[in-house]
Amino acid sequence: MRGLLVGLISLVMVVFVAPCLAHEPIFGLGPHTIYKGGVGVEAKLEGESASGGGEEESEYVLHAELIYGITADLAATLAVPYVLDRARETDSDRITSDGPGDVSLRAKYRFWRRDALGVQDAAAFIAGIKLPSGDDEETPKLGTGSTDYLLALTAARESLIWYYFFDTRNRINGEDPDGLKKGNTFFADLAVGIRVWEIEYLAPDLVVLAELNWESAARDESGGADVADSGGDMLFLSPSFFLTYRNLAAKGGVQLPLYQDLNGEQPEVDYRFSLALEFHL
Amino acid sequence: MAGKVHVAAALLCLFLASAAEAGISRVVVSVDGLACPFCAYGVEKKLKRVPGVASMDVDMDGGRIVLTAEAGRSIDFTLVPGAVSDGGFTVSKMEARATGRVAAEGGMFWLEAGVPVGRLQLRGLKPGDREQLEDLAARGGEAAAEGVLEKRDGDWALDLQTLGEGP
Repeated sequence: MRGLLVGLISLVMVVFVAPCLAHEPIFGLGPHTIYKGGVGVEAKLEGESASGGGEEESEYVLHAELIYGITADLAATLAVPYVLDRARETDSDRITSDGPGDVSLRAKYRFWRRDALGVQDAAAFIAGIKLPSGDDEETPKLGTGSTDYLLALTAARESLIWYYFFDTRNRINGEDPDGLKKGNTFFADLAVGIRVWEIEYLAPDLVVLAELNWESAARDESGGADVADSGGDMLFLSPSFFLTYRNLAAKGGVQLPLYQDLNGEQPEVDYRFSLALEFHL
Repeated sequence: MAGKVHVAAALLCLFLASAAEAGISRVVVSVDGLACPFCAYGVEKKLKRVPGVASMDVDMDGGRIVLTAEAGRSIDFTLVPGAVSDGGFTVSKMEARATGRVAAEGGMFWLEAGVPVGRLQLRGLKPGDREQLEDLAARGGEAAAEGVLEKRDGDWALDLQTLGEGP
């Protein structure tokens, strides 16, 4: 039972760790910020399906994000998720829930940048906090009930034709009111992208990417003891895209599992997807 | 009396016309780091707020943004590097088209280009430029010059690429 609940909680974590500004990988992070005083709004639909051990789990979450450029190198993001549907289904039972999820705040500081003709290299630190604002009394839970933290480092090269991204993230989880602490998770992501057609300023612009996303989660802890059916490693291959026109961006992608080594009995991820619209005012 | 009023009015119109035409009518900004139109939108927002800018044309491949002045106004190019930096990129060079009355002082030539800097020192003179500028300075004539904007010893200068007479 606890393993199943833990599996469901892991879906919630997707919400916290896949934020992005265009141009960034869809399932990883990049160093891009927004111009000083700039305001960006984003609506994003994310989903996940997992199955195994006689159970199927799914979730669909709608995120609203507000991005602000404090300086050209420092941006703050507020992310507010709404769980459209979170479901766990067995042969005999199906339970669902919906409602507001856990709100998160992030700050990104681009500490290094090197500009050349048609090329920008950059690196950034990211720090974030996820608050337990979602209802953790619902079944399945809409929030984790814990305050969690994110620390990340990302670097990228953006050029007129090729894009390269790298990031490493560490999610440090707190303890929920029941004494359950989700295992901290380490992420590492690589992405390569290519601009599909020649760039013009006043024309639609399309970049397609291939991402590799690695996740390694420690076992959960409850009352000081490890939870057997928790934690594990996953590797995904994720084709993604961003299509922009002036100050509007549409972006999305699918995460396809290449490798999963989960501890104990846990549903394995079938796929994840993300589709978003971002608008800069 | 009526004749003197007409002459004064004509001189005033001539002065105002010259003053209105003096200035920076075009700035070509070479920007490093421009690699995506979505990212460049922020630079557009910032540059459109620079006083005097009426329109801009962005060349992504060449990394250039061409700013065109409003009719009768001069572009405040001194604010351009800060605007580009606030947009998240770097100015590598600014070229401008400037018009104004030519003045000679201490062996150097200046273009009275109005706002924002008052005057631009003319540098990088080619053979023939000196004679043309001496002639214009002597009779209070106007020149139209294009070149690279640089700041040297606290003064803005135009490293000449082309020089012609009149606005």
